[in-house]
Amino acid sequence: MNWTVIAPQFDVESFQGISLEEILYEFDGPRIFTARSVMGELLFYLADEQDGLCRYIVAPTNASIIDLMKSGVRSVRDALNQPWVWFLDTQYDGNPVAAWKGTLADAPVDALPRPGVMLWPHLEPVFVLRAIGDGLGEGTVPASVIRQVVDGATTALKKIAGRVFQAARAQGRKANVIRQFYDLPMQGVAYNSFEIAFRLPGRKQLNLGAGEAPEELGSEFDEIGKLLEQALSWAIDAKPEEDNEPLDIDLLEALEKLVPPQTGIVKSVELRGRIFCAGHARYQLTRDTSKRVRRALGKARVSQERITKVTGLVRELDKDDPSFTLRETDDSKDHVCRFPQEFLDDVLEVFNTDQRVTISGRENIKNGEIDVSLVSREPSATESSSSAA
Amino acid sequence: MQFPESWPPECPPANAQDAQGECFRVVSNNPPGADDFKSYSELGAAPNANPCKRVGLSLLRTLDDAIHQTELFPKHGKLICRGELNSGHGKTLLTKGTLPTHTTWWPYEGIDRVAPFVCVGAQ
Repeated sequence: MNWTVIAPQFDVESFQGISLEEILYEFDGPRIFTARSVMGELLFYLADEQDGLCRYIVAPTNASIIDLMKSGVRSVRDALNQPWVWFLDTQYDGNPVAAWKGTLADAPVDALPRPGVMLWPHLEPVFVLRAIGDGLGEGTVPASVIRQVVDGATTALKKIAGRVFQAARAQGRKANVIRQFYDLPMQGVAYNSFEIAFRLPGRKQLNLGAGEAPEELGSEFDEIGKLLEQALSWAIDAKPEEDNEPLDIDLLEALEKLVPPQTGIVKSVELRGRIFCAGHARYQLTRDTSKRVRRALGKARVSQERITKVTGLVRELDKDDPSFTLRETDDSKDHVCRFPQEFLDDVLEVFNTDQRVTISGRENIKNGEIDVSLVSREPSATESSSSAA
Repeated sequence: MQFPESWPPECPPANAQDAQGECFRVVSNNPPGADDFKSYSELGAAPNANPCKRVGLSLLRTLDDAIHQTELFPKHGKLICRGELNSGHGKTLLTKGTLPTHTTWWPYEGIDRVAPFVCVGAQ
């Protein structure tokens, strides 16, 4: 072996007569498996093979850890990372020849599975967002960073899904079908600086349209991935801005939600997952990327959007795809308004009571749609008279 | 073309088919050599394993699965080779177990196992 284990030696006899229980990953031979021994249930990981020797990292384990690993909630590295592990050298015939007891930190990084890698390829998360910054680790992640990661993933995917399903929505495709493309179930959290992994909804959770097969959702998700990949490549590409084709405003707004802020603990953000065609690519967004995205977005907004304030009545409301149509407005136009989930209670109330409402936000000059950032109700007649009294 | 006489009887199994199509194998040498394509039986490894599987070689059918393997076992090689197999290379069988594209390849005796493969990139 070209790496030495720097840990106290351990009695190799303890590994005699081990009985293999379950093979979890087999290639040429078993590479990850569980076994039973006098030391209890063990997880074996074949870290290296050289010169007639196999070197395993062996961790104490239990059924719960194995189930989490098999369902893609826990990565292989996390499953191996127990308070202690053994390093075990065996001959090719399986005969143990040397053992050490230490921790996972005693192994060189390239002898371990990469952080976050799952047991089987199909368990790899569909979308992973990782916030990177000094001091981000278990027990030290501020709530604002957690919110940033969750909001970033959800809002960016929603922006792109909105574009992919523009035509489908017009044809009456249900909003709750579309919602599952951005409101993804969480697969796991890792302290690596801080990352959240998302998976596709399971078959039982899927909301399918009439006559729709789950595979069709896969192709639509691929479409979202392609657009996101296109946006990320644009953002990361170091071409001078004047040589770069301008990016669509929806994609810029998706990027805006993903890039790291100019100040604060998060210095960069990494994205990966099966959503991307280049399945194992990692995209890193830095503060330089943020500047670039904000500059481009500023330019696009000047020509395509304006800040607006309109008063009217909410006549049509979609709770699944938070949006309403504002009618009888003071600018005499109907406006489709999209709003953040936290405004739902306010919007529902004005919808149910027919109160006039003033909304502020960014209006798309071309189609009059408004991205709502503020909702204020006009006081009703009774409210006005009671406050006057 | 034939399989080695030393192989167990009924190996490859009757349901194995003529080798065909795209496949991938992660190797540790660049360029890959004969050592990267040795079976467990030739290495003397895992003597108690299924004797017919021991004389075969594992392959994967998708690049994504091969990339995943390099990330799961970094010490076992970072170079991914892509092969295009045909009936002259032996028999194969989808032996998926826990890996849906895992395929066992039983190469004919004496063929150059490296020849059908080209490296498509290192991770």
